[in-house]
Amino acid sequence: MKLKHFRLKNVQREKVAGYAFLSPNLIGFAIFSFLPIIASLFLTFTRWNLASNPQFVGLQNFTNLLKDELFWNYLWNTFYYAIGTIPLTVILAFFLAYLLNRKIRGVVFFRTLYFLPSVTLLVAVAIVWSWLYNADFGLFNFFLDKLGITGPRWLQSKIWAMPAIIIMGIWKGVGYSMLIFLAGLQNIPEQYYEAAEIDGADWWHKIIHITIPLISPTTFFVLVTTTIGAIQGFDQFYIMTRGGPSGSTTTLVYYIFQNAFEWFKMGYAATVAMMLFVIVLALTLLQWRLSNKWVFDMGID
Amino acid sequence: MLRRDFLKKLGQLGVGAYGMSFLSYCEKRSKSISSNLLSFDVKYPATAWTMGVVNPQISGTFKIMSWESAFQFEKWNLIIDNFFKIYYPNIKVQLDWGINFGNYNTKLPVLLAGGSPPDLIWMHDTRAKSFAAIDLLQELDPFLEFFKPDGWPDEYYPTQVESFKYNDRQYAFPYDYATGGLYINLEMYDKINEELPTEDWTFDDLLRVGKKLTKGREQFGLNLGSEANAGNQYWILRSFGGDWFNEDLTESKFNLPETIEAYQWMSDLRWKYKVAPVPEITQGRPQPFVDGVVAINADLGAPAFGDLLEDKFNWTIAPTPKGDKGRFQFIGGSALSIPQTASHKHIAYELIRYMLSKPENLEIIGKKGRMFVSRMSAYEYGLPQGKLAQKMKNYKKVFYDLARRDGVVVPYISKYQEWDDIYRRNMELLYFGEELDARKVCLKLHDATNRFLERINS
Amino acid sequence: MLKKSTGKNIADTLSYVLLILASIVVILPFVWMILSSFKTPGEIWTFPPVFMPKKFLWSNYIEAWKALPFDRFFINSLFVTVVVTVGQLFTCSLGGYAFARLRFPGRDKLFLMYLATMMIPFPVLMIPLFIIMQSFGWIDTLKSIIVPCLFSAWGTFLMRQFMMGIPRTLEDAAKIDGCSYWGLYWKIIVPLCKPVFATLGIFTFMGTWNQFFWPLIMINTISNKTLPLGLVMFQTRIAAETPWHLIMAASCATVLPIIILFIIGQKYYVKGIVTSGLKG
Repeated sequence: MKLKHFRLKNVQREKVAGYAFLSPNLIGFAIFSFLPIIASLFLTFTRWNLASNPQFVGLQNFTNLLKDELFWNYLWNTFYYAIGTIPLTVILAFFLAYLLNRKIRGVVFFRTLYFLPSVTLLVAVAIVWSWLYNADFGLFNFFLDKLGITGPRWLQSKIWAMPAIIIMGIWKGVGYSMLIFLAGLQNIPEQYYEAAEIDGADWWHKIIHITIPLISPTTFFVLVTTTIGAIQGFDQFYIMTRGGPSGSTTTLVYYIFQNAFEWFKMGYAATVAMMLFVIVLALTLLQWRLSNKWVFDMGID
Repeated sequence: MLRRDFLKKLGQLGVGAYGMSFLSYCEKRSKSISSNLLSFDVKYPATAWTMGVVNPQISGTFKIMSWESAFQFEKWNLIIDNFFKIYYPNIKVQLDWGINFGNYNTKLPVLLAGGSPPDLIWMHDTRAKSFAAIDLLQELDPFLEFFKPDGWPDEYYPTQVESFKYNDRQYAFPYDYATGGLYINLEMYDKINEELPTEDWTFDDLLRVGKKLTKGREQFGLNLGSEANAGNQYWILRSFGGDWFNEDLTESKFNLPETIEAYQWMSDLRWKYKVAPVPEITQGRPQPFVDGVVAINADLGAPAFGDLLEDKFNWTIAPTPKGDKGRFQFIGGSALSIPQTASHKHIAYELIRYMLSKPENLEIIGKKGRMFVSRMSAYEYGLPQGKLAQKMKNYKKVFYDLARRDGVVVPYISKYQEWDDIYRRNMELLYFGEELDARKVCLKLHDATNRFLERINS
Repeated sequence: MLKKSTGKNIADTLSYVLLILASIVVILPFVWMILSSFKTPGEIWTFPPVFMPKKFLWSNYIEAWKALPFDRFFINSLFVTVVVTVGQLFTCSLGGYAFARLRFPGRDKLFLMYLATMMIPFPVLMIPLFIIMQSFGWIDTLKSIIVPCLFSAWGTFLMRQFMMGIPRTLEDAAKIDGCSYWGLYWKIIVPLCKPVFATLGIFTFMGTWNQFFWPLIMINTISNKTLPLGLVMFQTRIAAETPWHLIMAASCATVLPIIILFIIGQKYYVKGIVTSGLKG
């Protein structure tokens, strides 16, 4: 009897502790994230040109959205970009983190190096990559030429502009994710590897049976955040091609931006944003559900 | 069980309440806009530059927002300081400049929508009508009538005054006059033994000379700009007899053979005759002319370019050509405006009037800014000085006289930004060479434009 | 024995080669940015591009510094960034611990809502957030760019994932000894989380240091501006008139603190798990 009472109290304590620990975070969230999101949700049912009062239009924004050719085009562009960047970024980031986790000399140097794309001025990045992609003088076509292939027109072509930005996107995103993988890798206790070696495992075995499972929470994080980041991509498209040629590199966030600030169609912008949100949420939920199968959690029961 | 349901309902109610209160805040704010009537009771002594409607001892903050940069804004600083020192000494001036043009157009709507507007804003001719159409700008007519600036409107550039009108009402006060001409690389030009272009040259004459000046991909003879930049190419369109819309702005004119001919000519320049630089050369580089890649380059008149070019090679300026249907020249400009929800409208107007009609101030702005500033008589301040005056001897003729005679106002409709996106997406096919037949592009744009105009006019 | 060490050597050399190849690609824009900060504006834009400037114009840095009150911008940026970084480390680690270790009703649903807030694109949130700031009277103050950033779903998410990877054995032992939740958090989890603290710290520092859009909307007075806003003040509509050499110089100077911080932060990327505790 006494034991049951004691355990109940503990459960209660844990609940209180949970909310207590979360409270600073939660309050900020409620005010600065949640409220604006609710406001945006309400805006999707209105037509608002920022000047006069928002007019209630019910579901008209949604029906317009379904008929909107531009929306579907840009949705495709966004997916194209996401599928192009996410797998490669995650794999390359893991690969580089794995290499850097070894005790080789100059680790600090290399780590700093890979960190640099994230801190280089976006304008500088855009200029240099525009030169790399130049059809006449750029480095990429130069090398392709050596291999006997006529290089494409990259940023000046409807077909090749998006792949060009995808490559640049991977370049920019790898350093970021690599650092996170590195932190995760550093936390795998040495004994596990030692124990495996005693059992006669080789390096391949070690990766498959120790590294990858133990780093799975981190992998999940990288996957989810890279997905969210890719689908919300905006800056690189704005600065490299302004969404061109002919709308081939316009993504949904760019479209939202245009609707909200250039065309004064705030209600419609909110609607597109909600659609985007639903899509990202669906993808994340999918990843979450699947994660139960492969994310190896050391702590939670 | 019951408690959980109750909490859920409470949560939903809370969410609903917040959402509704947000929307009603937007509505309340807009109601206060319309009840913001102007009064012109003269309660204090008027001066040459103030109406006497506002208490000279008034304290508060006067907010100015501009896209001009560090070195550009200097010309306004002294004038603004003087004005407030003399007339409203207790006012604190908040200057928000150095926001680049793109970000300015994002920040301004947020401030206006959020109800925290500046008192004086910069306005560009491409956007003025969009802001005016949804009532974001204060009509200046009452002010102009009550406290007319010296020489208004006859001594101010008629095209600029017109550009900032909407439904026959004035919504911004123009402050400059930007026009286009040709820059010519003399080191290349001297080699072909031809006369310099004049305003009587036709487009074919220019093409002929451009062909002579082209050497593969190393040297391009003639760069008149990108088809995708709607406003900048409008003068070419009109020279061929084409247009974007009809007089009432209700129908598209992209199916006119003249319009198609103009765009075909522009496209051929690049892809058939190969005298205009391909996008690879011009994208990502602000000045292919300065780099010595282009022999004849169309651009805005700006003595600042002279600084960039001075030491590189021998160069000069010339007028743009004329078309079959007459000669038209590019003009554009910017203006100062007052948001509808500003707090100090009278002061804002007095400041605008002080800055842009007082002769001494016009001299400062014109000379420091090296531009043609609002009043036509002040053009001389915008002419190049010193060594540049020698290089650009015919500057006045090319960029002022001919523009005054042939300048054409671009029809920036009230939802111009949205239409510009449609325009650009279609015209980029021509510019990037994805489509070489201008007829196909123009007809597609014709349909899209008609649908668009139908939608916004209904 | 010999086989093992040559195996390691081959692996090491291969690693080096791959890493160096990758780093060349990675470092190119950065090198160009640094070199451009010493060029004249004309040299920056020539094509084909020149990498090395004819003369190293250190004067660019001095000119840029004098043109605008960069000392003011620097102080503002530093203040905002430090406060936000410390704040986020605090709130995110607390929140991450709660999500990773503590059981309370609605925990998973709440966590999903956190993730969901990362998915709404910023443009639509700007105006409502602006109105909220206005109702607090925080327009044009540094508060408006500090306080909303003290909380981060991304940071909380990172902390949670990381903490999930720590074995429970140490905590169980401490719990039996009667340790409070705060004690568990402060004395056991935090020391083990040094790598992720360093990671989050660096990312938050860098993100806040470079943050542009939100400060642009909120700050109206020049003396309140941060470094990214200051950099943009050189840009004009006519690209040819923009003093790019000054912008490059100013950006390089801006980037320096972050790189220094990053190098210092590397020290904390140490192997965190204490091995002795696990055997028990």
